[in-house]
Amino acid sequence: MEAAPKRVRRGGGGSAPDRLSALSDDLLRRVLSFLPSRFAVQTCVLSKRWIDLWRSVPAVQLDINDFVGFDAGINGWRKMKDIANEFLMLHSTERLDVFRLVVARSCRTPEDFQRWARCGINRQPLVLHIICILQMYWKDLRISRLSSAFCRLKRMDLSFLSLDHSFGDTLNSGCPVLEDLVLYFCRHEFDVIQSDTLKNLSVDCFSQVGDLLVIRAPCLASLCLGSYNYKNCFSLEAGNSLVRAAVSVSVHNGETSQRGQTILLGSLFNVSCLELGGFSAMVCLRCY
Amino acid sequence: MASEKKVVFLRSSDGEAFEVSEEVISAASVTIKGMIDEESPSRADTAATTTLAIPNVTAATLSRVLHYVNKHFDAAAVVGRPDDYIFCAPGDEHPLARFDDDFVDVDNDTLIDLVHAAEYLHIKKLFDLTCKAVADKLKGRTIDQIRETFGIVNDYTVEEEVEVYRENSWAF
Repeated sequence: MEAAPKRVRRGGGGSAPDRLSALSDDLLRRVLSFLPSRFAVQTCVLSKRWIDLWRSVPAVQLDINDFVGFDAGINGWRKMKDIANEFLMLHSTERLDVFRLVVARSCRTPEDFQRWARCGINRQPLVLHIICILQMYWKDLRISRLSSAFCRLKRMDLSFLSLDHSFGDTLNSGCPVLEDLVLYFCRHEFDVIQSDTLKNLSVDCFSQVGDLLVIRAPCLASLCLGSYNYKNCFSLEAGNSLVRAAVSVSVHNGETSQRGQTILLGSLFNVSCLELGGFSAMVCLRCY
Repeated sequence: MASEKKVVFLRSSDGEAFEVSEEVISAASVTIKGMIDEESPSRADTAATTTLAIPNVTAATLSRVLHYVNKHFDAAAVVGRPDDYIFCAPGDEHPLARFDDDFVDVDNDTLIDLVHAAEYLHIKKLFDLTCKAVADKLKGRTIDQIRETFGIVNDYTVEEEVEVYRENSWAF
């Protein structure tokens, strides 16, 4: 089945034609959108065909891991800072498909991080990843006056960020098409996640305000919950569409109330694929 | 409607016909779904199966595309939503990740044929996969290596090239 018919090459001048450069601008931009932004810029020297393509790539990918050649520490960070500032200034796409920002502990200037994040969000991405590989250091993500920029967002993935009240408000009322949400090791000041469109949710976070996280998502299909710090567990209001769930409560936190666990398990009534961790045996017996 | 599974035939640009489940291909390809929907009124009362011409895609490419489509969009083969990778615990791989990697592990010409086919047939997942695979072929290579790999002719004069480097020196 793999026997490709011999292609008649135009020109027939011997060397293979450059089929990559022959792709449309849109296609090439799509290809470049998967590259770290720095490499996307570098393609400008390939040939005249490529000189300005990077400016209109519908993605921004700024990841400290792409700068480890400069070492993961302060030099990598300096290089990333130069490139991020320059890139965001010269890149001319008003609306992004993807904005991805990954920083590590070497990120010394929170104001830069904040500016880039806001700049990316402001371009109304469909997919937003903001990840801090920091461990025990949380970066603030302040989105005041940006709330309307989440109108196109379909997927959001945030790690090691401090998320305030206004973020909670935007999440709950300013994301009309959000389907996938991952919050990993974030500290949040809101206690409700509410969405009519959310299909996949993964939360493993710390609450700054209460002992309970309320999730209201009638269209949820899959759920992944982990808890270190929700003493009273979660309150879940999902519908029949929720069929896959992985839930673990803190094993070493005896305070996680059995009642809370029972209620949570009870709300997984239509789940056909379930993984549990840390639940007390009594709770499981009572429910099933 | 008969309860048996309906199939359609897709005829490649070089005349080879491929059978595929109507349900599966409709879920995968916006373009073919549109063709089928257009055809339906005229064939509602006949038992004849539909053959759709796919003028822009060769047999070699089409057979690959259908291999992908059957793997990713056959509801009988894929349990749950195929996109629920988000559910996977950290470290877990999407069950089809391995298949996808192998699928795009092909030479440049074949890959670019697949990009065109995915675009024409409007199969978003395949389009993203193949575009990303092209990007992966660029990644980690020097400018000269990329030119060589894809046969890109450097049409800058020496002066122009120096100027382009200078202007974008911040990215190097």
